Amino acid sequence: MSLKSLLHKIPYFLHQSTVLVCETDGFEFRGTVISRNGKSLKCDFFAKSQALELDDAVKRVLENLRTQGWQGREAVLMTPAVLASIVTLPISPKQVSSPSQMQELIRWELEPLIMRHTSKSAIGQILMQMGVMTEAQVNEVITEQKAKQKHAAAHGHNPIYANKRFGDLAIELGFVNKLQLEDAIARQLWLKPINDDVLYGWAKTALTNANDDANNNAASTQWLVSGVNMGNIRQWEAAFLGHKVTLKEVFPLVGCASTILPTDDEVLLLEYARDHLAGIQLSSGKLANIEYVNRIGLSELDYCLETYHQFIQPSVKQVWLASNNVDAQAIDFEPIAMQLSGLVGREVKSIPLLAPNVSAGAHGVAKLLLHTKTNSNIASITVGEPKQSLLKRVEVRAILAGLAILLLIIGMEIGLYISKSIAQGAYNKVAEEKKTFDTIFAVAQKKVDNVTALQKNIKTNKNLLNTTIERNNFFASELPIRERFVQQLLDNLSYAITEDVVVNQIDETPNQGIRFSAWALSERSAQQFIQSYKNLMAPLGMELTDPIVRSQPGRLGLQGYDIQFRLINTLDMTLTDAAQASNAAGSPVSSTAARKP
Amino acid sequence: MSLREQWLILIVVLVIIGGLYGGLRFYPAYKAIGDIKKNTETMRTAMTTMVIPEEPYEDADTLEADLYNVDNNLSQVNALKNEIDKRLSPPDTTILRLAISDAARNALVRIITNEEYRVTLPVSVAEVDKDNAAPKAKRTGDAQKKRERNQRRAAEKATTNLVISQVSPELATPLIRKLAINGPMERPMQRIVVEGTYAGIVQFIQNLDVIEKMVTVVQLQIALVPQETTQGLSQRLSATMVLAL
Repeated sequence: MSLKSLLHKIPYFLHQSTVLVCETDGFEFRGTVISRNGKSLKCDFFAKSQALELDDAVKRVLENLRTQGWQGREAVLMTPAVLASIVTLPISPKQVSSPSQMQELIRWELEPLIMRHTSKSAIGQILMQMGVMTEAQVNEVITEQKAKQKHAAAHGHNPIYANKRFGDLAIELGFVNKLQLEDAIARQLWLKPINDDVLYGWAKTALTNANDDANNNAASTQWLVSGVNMGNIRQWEAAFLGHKVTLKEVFPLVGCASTILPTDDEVLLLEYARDHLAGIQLSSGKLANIEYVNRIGLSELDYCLETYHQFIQPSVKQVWLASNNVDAQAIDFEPIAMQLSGLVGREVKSIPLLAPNVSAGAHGVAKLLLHTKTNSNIASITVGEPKQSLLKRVEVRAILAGLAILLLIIGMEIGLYISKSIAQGAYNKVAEEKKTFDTIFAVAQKKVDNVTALQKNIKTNKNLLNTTIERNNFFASELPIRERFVQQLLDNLSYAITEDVVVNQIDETPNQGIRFSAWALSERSAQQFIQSYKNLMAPLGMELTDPIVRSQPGRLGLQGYDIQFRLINTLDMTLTDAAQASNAAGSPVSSTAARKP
Repeated sequence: MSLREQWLILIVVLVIIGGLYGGLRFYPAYKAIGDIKKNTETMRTAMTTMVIPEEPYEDADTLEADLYNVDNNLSQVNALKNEIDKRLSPPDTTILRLAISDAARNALVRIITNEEYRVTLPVSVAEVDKDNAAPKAKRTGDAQKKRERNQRRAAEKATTNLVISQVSPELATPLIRKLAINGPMERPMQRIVVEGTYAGIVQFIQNLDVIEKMVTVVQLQIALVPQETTQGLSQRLSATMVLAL
């Protein structure tokens, strides 16, 4: 069971609420707007036209309906150009894979019937339906036509000169005039096949057999199928499209009233329209047989009687009569039903009409479209390309692909969202832990930094303290000591100097101590001077070293003795020895040692 | 449209949409998630490798007490330093040099030369000396020295005696090296050459001692004046002294 059939089970779901049903028999065109009124149907608008031209008739009817208030955009058409029949196909409903498959199978069965059916739209038939020619006259024209062809063939004439058209011959023979012929030709266009292409349709479900299950799986199944010339339908379609109305489906003119039969018994339904009659046999409400009869010239009663005898069977429980007449004055079928009833010796009922202007066939089509979608009693033909199954349509595939891509994107977005949420959650958790950790670390580090800063400050201040103390010691102690030393040096020198000694030079050197250079008259004076100065300087921590006394002339040309010695601070001497030793070893020597006691 | 065409269109659309979505949305979002995970891992690693510092051995309160004590000592020492600095020469040594001149005149010695004596230690040597001496409070010490030196030089520029004796540090005595520029005890120095008798020179040195500001003879050289002295008069001597102001 398909999704669509499931949805259709929902009351009125996917059902349209109003439909324009158009009917034509080649001489008149009617349009009836039927709408759903709860569980019943009602006729909203009605219009008809007997215009000669097809386009003209459609235009008048549609304009009339628009004026009355109809705003629809779709219509269906019932035309005798559609032929319905029951055929046996080697396919069950479950095996149907595509419309083109069904079309091909139906074509094999229905094409011969279609060919024969289209002959009924010959010009002679139409002239007979118009009442301007009799059947005998039509046969005479046909005979004359064939004779001319034979004569031409026998004498080797070109067939183009021998084949006269029916209408021309009829005018030659005086049966019709030109005006009548032109009318007939115009009428013919309503039903005449234009090319060899045929549109096929089939009922939604196969016909029932004795065994339903066997029917669904049988190698051959009976189907109600229908066909119509594509060119003919295309011109109807174009006529409707010219007024922005889409022709959706076409139905046979007769054969659609079976859906409104109020009984499920074994029924014989005779559905009549102008010169067209369908004998429909129904069994338990399902179509068992349908045949079309087309006889021109008979009265309605004779037509029905003949068809009755042709189709009646012992199993038939009820006989119904339905009229699809589209004459200006609707034929009241009640008397005909009574008469037929009297003739056949059994009750013949007539199908009640929805409205005086609504034929039984139009009612049946409206009921099919507005109430019941699944019906095996009517085979409509969809105008336009047969719709493929949903999954095979490009637009459906595009939508599905778009949905799939969208779902994929949504899925990926959801995945990203979830991943991000998980990652963010883990991040927040770890961040929280780290925050706590950082707090602990900061507290500990702060303590350490505090202590380190204190230690550094203490060290700095101690260094500063030491520096300042050293500076204070230097200026408060060392320099004054130096001052006293210099004075003492000179004072002691003056004490040590005798009359025999003269000081030539005193030189304080950077690293050789204080060098003294003097001159003495005698060597004894020289040594005495050296000794006494040595003794005087010893308490000051100075040691007299390298004394040299040598004979040398001096002042006034006198012969005397040159005295040379150095005064060295004993601590400096120790440092000097240490510096020399460490220089040899390569280590620095501190220069900040105290020099003076 | 044939099945092949439908497949081709589908593939093209998939590539375009996939490329746009992947490049503009998915990849940046995926990268952002990767960055979040990476940051999470970095933080986790940081937490596992980070070492909480151990509590310091010394107590902050004890250290603060020590610092307080050191500061107290420092303030006392600074007070003493300020007292000592009062005896030292200001950057402008004009007055002091005038006093030195007075001392020389009072000691009956003649000043032959009176010039600035400048010994500049190289910074590395000065730093070594400084480190060996004791690290100073860098900011105040260096800045103060610079200011004093600049003031001294500015003052010297105004004097008539613009002679400067620049001596290499290797030729200076250890005491002078201490007092040299960039030395630990940097002070202005003056090289003075006086001529007179021994007694006068000694007197001059003694007179230096009574000047209000501290003047110290850090290097002394005495030599005979080359000229012959008149018989009966004391030998005239020339004394070259480096004075620390």
